[in-house]
Amino acid sequence: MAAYTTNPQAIHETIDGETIIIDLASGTYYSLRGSGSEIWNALGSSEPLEAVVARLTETYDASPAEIVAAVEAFLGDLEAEGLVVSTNGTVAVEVPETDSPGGEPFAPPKLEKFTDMQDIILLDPVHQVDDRGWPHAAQAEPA
Amino acid sequence: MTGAVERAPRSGSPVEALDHLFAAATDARGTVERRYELAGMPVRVRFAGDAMLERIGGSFAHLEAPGSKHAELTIKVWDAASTGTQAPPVLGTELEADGTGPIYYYDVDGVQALSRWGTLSAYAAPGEGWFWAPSPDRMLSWDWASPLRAILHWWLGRHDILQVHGGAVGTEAGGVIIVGRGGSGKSTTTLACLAGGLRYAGDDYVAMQPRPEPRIHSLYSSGKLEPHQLERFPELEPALANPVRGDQDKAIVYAHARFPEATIAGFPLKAVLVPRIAGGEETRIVPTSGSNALAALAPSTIFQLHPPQENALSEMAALVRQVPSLGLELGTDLGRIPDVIRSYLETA
Repeated sequence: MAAYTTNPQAIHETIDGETIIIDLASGTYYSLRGSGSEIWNALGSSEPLEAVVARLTETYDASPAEIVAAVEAFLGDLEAEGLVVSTNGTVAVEVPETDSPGGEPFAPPKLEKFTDMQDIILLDPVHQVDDRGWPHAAQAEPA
Repeated sequence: MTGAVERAPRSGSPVEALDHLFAAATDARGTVERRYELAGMPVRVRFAGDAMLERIGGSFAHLEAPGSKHAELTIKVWDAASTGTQAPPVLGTELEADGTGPIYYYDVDGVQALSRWGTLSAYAAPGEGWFWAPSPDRMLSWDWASPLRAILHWWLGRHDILQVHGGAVGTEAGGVIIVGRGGSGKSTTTLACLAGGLRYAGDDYVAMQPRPEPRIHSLYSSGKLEPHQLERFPELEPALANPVRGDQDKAIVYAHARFPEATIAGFPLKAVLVPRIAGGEETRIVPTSGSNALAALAPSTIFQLHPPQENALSEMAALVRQVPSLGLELGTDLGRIPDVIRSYLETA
């Protein structure tokens, strides 16, 4: 499995088990719950991915192979959004099969994406602006 | 000359040019000074003539503190049209355009400046600001209704106070901040509370102090109304600051002009309310998660301020952890909204 670290442009906070991530570069924000929030916070705390997968296996009613596949897919989603950066390394994730999986139903980690900030950033319709000279720097001010 | 520099600017710094322009403006029109108390701190605003005071002064009328002498922040405000002075230099580099015209941001040696919407805001730490407009009449409605916003953001940040996107209503004993995306009912809630007898600290931007106890500070007495909201709150019509406006301009009301007893400088924060238009007749307060409140508060706050503050999210999260997060299911009977919030505050 590829190794990742979180992108410093992606600021985040976790409250009540839900993580809010804001990408300062793009204006997009995201929500993670459950196992997604756990994996994200592990990436930020440098907890080995193998330990995270083992913990998820102990918590949820799913096989290690199922959890590893879900984690890999989730990390791919995070990378596609630029929220994590590959460290160009790999980590071995070998979690032994267990006869006593966790009891909680497993919901694969999911990245929820919100792009409505563009509407808020624009605030109000564009008008009265385009005919202005200032502050266009290209127009030299009189001496 | 009345535009004297109070703190020697660094030679060659942009603040030298701004002081020079402001001095020329006050030479032409004289100086009008107003003193305010913002977030519990004394602020002095020096206007070159009265044109810009008439344009933006209404938003701060509820915070006037004429007796104060010392000032933590002094802001010099002028326009080119009424003073016959030239435009200031454009500072900084152009940021990615957002559709509302060019944006330039500058941050060098403790001086910050933002050129946006055709006006210039500049700030030199710890306590000097400059605001320039080409003409009061050419300012966009959201720029004059929530004036000096960038300068106040930078200055308040130095005092660990965040300017946040939300409305706030309550009583002297405590109040709520109302957060949410456009169309969620945030403005309707704050306006209903203004008309319904609760104290009003703002409908769009307020200042939030997380420590030692969470507290809301009012910044503006202005409120923005969509046309349909003006129909719902006809009692606000006498408070209109722009009875004649363009098709796309929001109506602006000065709460202090119509309800001077209703505005308030601030109050202890008792809860974060996330409104939702529920459709039923009755308004109800229901539990919601802290993450829901943070998602309603943080992104729009962070992206409306330049530059986005990296610690803003953690500060807002710290505040959300200190007070209850509640959903406000808005009913169709607007007159009941302030009663429901008042009842909650009486037991909070």
